[in-house]
Amino acid sequence: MQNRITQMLGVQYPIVQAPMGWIARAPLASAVSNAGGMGIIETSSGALEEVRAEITKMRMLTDKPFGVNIAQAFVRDPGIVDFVVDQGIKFVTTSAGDPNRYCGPLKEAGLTVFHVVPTLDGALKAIAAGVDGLVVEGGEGGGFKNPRDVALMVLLPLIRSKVDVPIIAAGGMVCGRTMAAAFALGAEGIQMGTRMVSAAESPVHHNWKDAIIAAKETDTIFLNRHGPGPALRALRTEKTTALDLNPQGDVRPEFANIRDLYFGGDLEASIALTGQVAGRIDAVKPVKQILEETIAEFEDEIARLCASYNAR
Amino acid sequence: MKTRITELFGIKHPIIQGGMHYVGFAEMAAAVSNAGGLGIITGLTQKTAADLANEIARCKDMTDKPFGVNLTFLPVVDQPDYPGMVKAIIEGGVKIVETAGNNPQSILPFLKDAGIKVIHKCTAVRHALKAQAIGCDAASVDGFECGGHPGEDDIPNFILLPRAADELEIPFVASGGMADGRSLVAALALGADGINMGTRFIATKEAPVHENVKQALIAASELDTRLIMRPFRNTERVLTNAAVERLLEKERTLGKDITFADIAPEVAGVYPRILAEGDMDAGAWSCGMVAGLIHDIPTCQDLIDRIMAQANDIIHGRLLKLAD
Repeated sequence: MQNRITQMLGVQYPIVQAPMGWIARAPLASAVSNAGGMGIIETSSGALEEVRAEITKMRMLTDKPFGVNIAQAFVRDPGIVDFVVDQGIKFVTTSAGDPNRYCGPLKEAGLTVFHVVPTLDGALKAIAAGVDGLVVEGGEGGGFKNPRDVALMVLLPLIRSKVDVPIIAAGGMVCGRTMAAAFALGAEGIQMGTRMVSAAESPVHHNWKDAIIAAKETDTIFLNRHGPGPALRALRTEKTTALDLNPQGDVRPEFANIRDLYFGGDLEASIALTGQVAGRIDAVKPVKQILEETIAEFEDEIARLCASYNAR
Repeated sequence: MKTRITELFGIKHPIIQGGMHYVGFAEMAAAVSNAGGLGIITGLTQKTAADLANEIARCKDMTDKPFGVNLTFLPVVDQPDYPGMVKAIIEGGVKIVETAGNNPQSILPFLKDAGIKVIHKCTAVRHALKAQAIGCDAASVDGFECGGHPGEDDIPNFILLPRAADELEIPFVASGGMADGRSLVAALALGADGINMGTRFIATKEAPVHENVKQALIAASELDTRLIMRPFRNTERVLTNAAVERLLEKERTLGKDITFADIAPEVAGVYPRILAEGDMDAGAWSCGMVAGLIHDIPTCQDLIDRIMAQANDIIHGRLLKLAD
C-alpha cells in the first residue's frame, strides 16, 4: 500500500500510534515502528531527560522511522526544537497549541511536521503556518479535547474539502472498517490511541487494559466542557463519575498521581484517558497483529464494497 | 446500488429522508421519492388523522414511487390520535412506516397485518436490538452527530455503526452526519446498508421551509449546533441562535431546579414560526452537526445523483486503487 502518508513518513502502513503521555515510549513505539507503522515518542509527560533516554533506546530497538510529539501546552521548554532536531528525528506531530510556534524552526531543520486539529479553523491556521499534514481528531477520541467536540464523520470531510495536505484520522480508529470509512472521507492515514494503550507491548498496568476490554462504548465520560483547564475524555470510574456530577474546577491536579493509575493499576488514583473506541476493543493483542489485521480487513472491506456495489 | 435497504423498501438508492417536524410535508417526501430515495411524511406535523390522510393523498398525487410516514411516540400526557393516524396510514396505502421515540410495539401488529415495513429510529445498540426483537424490519441508527434527539449516550457514528453491525441481523441505515457520497461510503464501510439524511434535505430546492432556514444551514459551521434539554434527559441537537443561548443560560443558572415552564418560551410551538415563517431567532429547532458540510441548495434529484456518482468514484476509483 502506497500513498502520500507512507511516502512522507517512510513507513509500510499508513498507521500512526498516538502519543499518550508516559505510555508512548520505546517499548510500545518501537513495536509499532517494527511492525511497519509509525511509532511516536511522547513529550507531554514533561520529563525530557527520560524522553531523551527513550529515544536512545529506540535507536537500539528499531532501525525503522519513528517520530516525536510536541504537546505544546505541556512542554514550554524553548529548547524543545533543538532537543528534537539533535535527536535526529525526521517526523514531528505538534498539538495543543499555536501551530506557528514550532512549525517554522522544525521545517527549517528539515523535519516533516503534522499538527493535530479538532476544528476547521484549527486546520486552516495550521495550513497557514506551513505544516506538511494534519492529524484530524474527532470528539470520539480519548485524552485532552477541544471543549466543542466535533464527530469525525463531519470534521474529516469538512477539513478534507478545504485543504490539500494529507490527513491522518484520529478518534475511533481501531480496525480495517474504521480505516476504510476514514479513507472514504478523505484521510490517507489513521492514528490509534486507545487500541495501542491496550496492546500487548503497552507498558500500562493490566488493570487498565482489562478495563478497556470490559468497557462498553458508553463507558467513557467527556469532562470539564466548561473549564477551567482542559476538557478531556476518560474512562468512566468512580472518580470521573464524581467529577462529572460535581465539577471541582481545574482537573489538572488530578493528574499528579497518574503513574499510580497507569503503572500501579489503581484506576481511582487519577484519570484514565480513554476513547469511546474502548467499546470496540475485546482483546489485548500484539501491535504487529493489530496492524496486520487492520490492513487485511481494510483490503477485504474495499473488495467487499467493490463487489457489492457495482458501478451503476 | 443494491443493498438490503433498497431491496426491503423497493427503492433505487439507499437514501432515506427521515421524519422532520414541519419539514416532512408531501412536497418534501415526493421530491425525495421521485429522485430514487425514500421520502417520509412526518405524521405528527399533521394536526389530526384526517389531515394526515390528506397529506398522504397529496403525496400520492405527486409520486408513484414508495414513500413512508414517520410516527414518533412521545412521552406526553396529551397523546396524539395514534390509532387514527395508523388507520390513515393503512387506508392510504402507505407501505413503509418510520417509527421513533418510545417503543412502537403497540402498533406493530396493525402495521404488520397491513403488510407495512417498519424502520425504527434508534440512538443506542440496545434499542436497535429491542426493535429487532419486537419485529421491526430495519433500524435507523442515529449517531451523536444527528439533529433532533440523539439520546443520552453521546456515541458518534464511527463507534455506533460498527457496534450495530456487530450485533444486528436486520438491515440498518446510518443517520447523523450524512451529507454526500463520502458519508455514504463511510457508512457502508462501517456496516450500514444505506443512509438517512435529515438536515441535508432541508437545504434543497423542494424543501417546503422558509428560505431563511436554508440560508442559516449554509452559514452554519461544524461548531454551531448545541445540545439543549439535557437536564430533562430529552436532549435535542439544535442550531444555535439567540433563543438557544438564552435557554442554555437558564439551564446553567437554574441547575437541577429547572422546569419545562422555564424553557417553554424557547421551545413550545416555535417550529412553524421558524420553519414556515423564517423567524430564525424564535426558538430552538433541530439541526445536525452536518450543517458544517452544507454549502448549497440543490434539487433533491441533483443531490441524490451526485451522492451516488461520488460514492461510485470513491469505491471504484480512489479506494480500489489503494487496495490493489
